[in-house]
Amino acid sequence: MHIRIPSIRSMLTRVSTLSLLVMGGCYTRWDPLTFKDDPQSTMMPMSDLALSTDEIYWPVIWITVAIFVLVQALLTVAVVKFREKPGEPMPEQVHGNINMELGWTLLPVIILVAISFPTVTRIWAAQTAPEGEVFEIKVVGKQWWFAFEYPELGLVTANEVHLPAGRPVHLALHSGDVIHAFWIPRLGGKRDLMPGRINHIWLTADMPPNGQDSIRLEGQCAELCGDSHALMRMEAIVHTPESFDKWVAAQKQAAATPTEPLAAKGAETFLAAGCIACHSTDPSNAQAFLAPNLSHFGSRPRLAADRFENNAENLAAWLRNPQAVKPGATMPNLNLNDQQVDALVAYLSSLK
Amino acid sequence: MASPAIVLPEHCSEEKLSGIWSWITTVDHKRIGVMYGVSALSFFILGGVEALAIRTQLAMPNQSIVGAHFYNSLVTMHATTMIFLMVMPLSAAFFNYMVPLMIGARDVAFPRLNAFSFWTFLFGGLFINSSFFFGEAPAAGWFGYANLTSIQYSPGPGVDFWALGLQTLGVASLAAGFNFIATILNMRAPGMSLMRMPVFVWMTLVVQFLVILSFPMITVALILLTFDRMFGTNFYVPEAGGDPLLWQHLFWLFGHPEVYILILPAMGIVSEVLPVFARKPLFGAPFVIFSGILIGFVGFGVWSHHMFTTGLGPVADTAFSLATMLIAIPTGVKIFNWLATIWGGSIRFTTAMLFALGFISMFTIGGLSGVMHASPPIDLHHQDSYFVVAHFHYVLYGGAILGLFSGIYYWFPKITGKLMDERWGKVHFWTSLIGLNVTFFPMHFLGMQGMPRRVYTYEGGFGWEIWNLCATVGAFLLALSALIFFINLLKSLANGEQSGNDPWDGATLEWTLTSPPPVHNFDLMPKVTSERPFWDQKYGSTHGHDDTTEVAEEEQLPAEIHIHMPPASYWPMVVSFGVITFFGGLMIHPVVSVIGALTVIVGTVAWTFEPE
Repeated sequence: MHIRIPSIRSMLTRVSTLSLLVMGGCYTRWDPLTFKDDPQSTMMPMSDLALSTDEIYWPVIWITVAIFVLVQALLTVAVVKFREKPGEPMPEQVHGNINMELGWTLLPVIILVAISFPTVTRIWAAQTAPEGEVFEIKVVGKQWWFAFEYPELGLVTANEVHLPAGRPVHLALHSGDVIHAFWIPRLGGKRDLMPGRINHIWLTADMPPNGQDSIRLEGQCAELCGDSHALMRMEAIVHTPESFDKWVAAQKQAAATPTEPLAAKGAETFLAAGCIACHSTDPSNAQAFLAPNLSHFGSRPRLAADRFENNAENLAAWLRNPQAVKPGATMPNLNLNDQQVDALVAYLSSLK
Repeated sequence: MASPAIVLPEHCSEEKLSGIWSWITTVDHKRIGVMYGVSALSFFILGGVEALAIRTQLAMPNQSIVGAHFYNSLVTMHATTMIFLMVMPLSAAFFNYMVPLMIGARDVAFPRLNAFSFWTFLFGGLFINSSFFFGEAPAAGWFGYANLTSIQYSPGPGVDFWALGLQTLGVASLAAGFNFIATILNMRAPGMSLMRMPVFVWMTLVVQFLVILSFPMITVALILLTFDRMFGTNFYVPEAGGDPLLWQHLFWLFGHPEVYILILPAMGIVSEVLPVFARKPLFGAPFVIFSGILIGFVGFGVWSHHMFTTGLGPVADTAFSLATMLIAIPTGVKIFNWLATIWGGSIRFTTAMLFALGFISMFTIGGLSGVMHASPPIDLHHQDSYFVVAHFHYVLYGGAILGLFSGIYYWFPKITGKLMDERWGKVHFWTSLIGLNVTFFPMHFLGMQGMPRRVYTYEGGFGWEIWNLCATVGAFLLALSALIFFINLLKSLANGEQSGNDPWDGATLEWTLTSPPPVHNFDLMPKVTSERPFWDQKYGSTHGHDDTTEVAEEEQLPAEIHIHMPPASYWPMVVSFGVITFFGGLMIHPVVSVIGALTVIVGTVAWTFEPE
């Protein structure tokens, strides 16, 4: 006779669902604690990965709140009720009670077992590649910016990662120098970018809400990686499929050669001053991991690893003295004169 | 029964025990304890100033009161100072002063080794902090992750100061660890079986085992780091086949037990204070003790919960997650036993008791947020965010430091013979409690809003402004509370009320002595018949059966008792000086290190052959 034994995975999943139910179905999100207007909130999931975390985050929050209230209540009652009163006899000298010890040992055991099942299923789910086709993105962290390569598209971007909503995505995480961490909270928890290793995140981003074409999600490096760790930011742009195709098509076209005289002069300066030695303006250039790829730079709203608004003033300050904007930045100070800076600003802003 | 006359050796005379030189050469555990305490509280001020600088910088978005690199130095040194130079040595102050008194011993097992531990700790602490004057204070974070600490990415001297300084502190801790294990296991008064030992002494014993088992890990980790930086090895250099992850494993194999090294002494203090001021024995004492042992034991099996984000794979994540949850059980047992201790008691709200009650309340918050990030999916958000900053400050300030303050108010009368001012003590307590919640609670929200830790600046528009400002206000409130404490401490020291020998109606042996205790501690070996020997003496045994029969037999005492006391010695300090010269020399010139090593050898030989 053939007996069908359910796989350990599927059993775990069932127990996990059950224990979430046992925990009182307490997946109740309390609005003020979702920090829904804050762009980097960890409590506003925008992907399957972030949602699966959210489903365990809230029950655990409520459980810990309940235990906290219990302990504080007992403490408060004890402190009020058993304060010393004048002329009081010596309190009864109780040394212990074995049943009570058993009780408060077993209570946490039950709670922790309940938490552990949905935890373990999520550990495995998050670190298993989904079946079927996935969209590959290579992420490289460097002091202090992020590079993104889309091998299937032959494209690279810097500090902005573009994702198609509704499609499973695989982020292969690399580091070019020290340890960084990739963290876009609304897409899910963080993973480290380890030198000499490759880490992985699999997720499927949700459709942009309210019928928008795309939505920008904020993130930043979360592992101390040197002086400008605080300035190492990035954005994820989640597109609807149509919007993503449009973005790919636009991205594949090299920016038009500038015709305006100042910008044209800037293009020459870009070569003459040596910017080209590290930065490429070709959207498919393999040099992308040496320094941020600048193709379509003018269409990015932010500069210097997503930290400052991309306007003429900030860009000029950056070109004049990168270290003053971003302490320790590896881009050298080229000692550009005012004309060169103005020309470069005009040129870079024209790269749309 | 006539008390016999006590005859002390000549070197214990009044005039031999005054002046600076007597402190430098002292081997008396009580004086060493005081020196640990004074040093720790001085470093507390330093670490506090660093914290205020951090909070001032972050009070509002886009501030640049300090630069990026110096900010990283501040966070690194704030943590290093508070952990290694404040909480650990303040705990050591109580180990030193109280453990021999609580177990009825003359001194620790190796008094000169004890002096060596203190001087090595002090030199190590001064050495790390001297980096501020030599170009660069360490800036790679208190857990100094490779390969940011490599010579390529941290070319300044800061990381060397940090690595060699921690190495020195490790020597001090290891020496003290062996010393206290020997003391506690061998020098207890007759009748003091292990289960009659005060819980504070138990927690001290567990901590010493954690020290001797965990410090070798960081010793190895730091040697590899020093070799990488100074001699061009590649243990942590990925380009050459080394592995930065190796550092994290070695560091957290030390670093997690270290967390319990910081909190268990405070748990021990609270377990002494609560029963005395509730006038009841500790509820479920064996369970509290075994919970402490279990926490220490399992504490060695959870290190990788600091590394869930590094991608160790689902098997490791599962194992370390479950082991971490396991630790919540004995911790919960302790909290419930403390609650049961005060339940049905007759509670006196002294400052020491308030701090102990505050400990229960605040530590619970830190413990519960710990349970949250035992679950890796949640931890992947919490890790390196302000949520963990909130968590470990509830554990360390709300836990360790409140517990240690409780110990200070509790034992200050024993150490000085004077009471601390209770009114100012209560002001200190309430400003601490409010200050710490205003500072650290909003950090939970910051973490949930996605603010990473160790950022020297941040932009507006993320919802972080209000909570950061709140935390900064709270930090200054905490500074005010510390100021009140120090004023109270100095005032009480100068003209505090006389305390008498037993101001709190204590239960353990230290309260049988005069305040301050005589240089030789006990005239006669006390005989111990329960875990509350002094209580039994005053109120009779509460164990149902009469244990006191053992002491009923009258002993024939000699007319005078000659007490052997170890003589003062400056050799421990010389050897400590050799240790720091050896390590510091590595940064200057090999010849300096050789001189240091020779000093250690000469000092050790001289110490060995010193006449007793």
